[in-house]
Amino acid sequence: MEQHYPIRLLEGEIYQYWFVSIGKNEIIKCVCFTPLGSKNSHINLGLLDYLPEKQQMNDQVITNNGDSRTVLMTVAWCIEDYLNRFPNRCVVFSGTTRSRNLLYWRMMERYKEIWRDRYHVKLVSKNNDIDTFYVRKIIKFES
Amino acid sequence: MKRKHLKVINSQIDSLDAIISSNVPFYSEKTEAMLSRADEIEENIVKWGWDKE
Repeated sequence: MEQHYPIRLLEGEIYQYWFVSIGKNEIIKCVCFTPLGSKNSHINLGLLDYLPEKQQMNDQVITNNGDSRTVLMTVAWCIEDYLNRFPNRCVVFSGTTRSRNLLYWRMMERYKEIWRDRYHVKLVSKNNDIDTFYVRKIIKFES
Repeated sequence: MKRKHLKVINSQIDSLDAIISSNVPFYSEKTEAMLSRADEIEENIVKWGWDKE
């Protein structure tokens, strides 16, 4: 059984899942689900860190806080919760670097047995590198 | 996908709540980049038939 950080959820047009990453430092993070169009059918997932010196949330930070596995488990929990609330939506995301996308891909492969029956996942590549992940809940109709 | 919550002490929750309530600005270059690709993303979703499920 994997662990994730406790969440503070703010509902709205942009859903915000806040948590504290506890590694070498305590870093406040937020997973944001932002609609990419007027139809709300495809949603961008962003992971932002709080920068105390700038007093802002920013997604260009590399924290190396030593808890990336727990952070990714927390992000996975957020995706699951969001798609349970909005099963007809598609969540898309892309890491800020090539190495981050590879990390996300490895984690998804590692836990594939857990999610493969419940989610469609597609990876779109550009120039032989992973570019964008697409995640959608599999909707099962009872006969 | 049941997972346990980690224990977080009250001071960490307090600092989290303080930041949330302060309405800090968000700067997400990735979200901006994805917004500019919204049409391409929607085309892929339609191509895979995910819009019809």
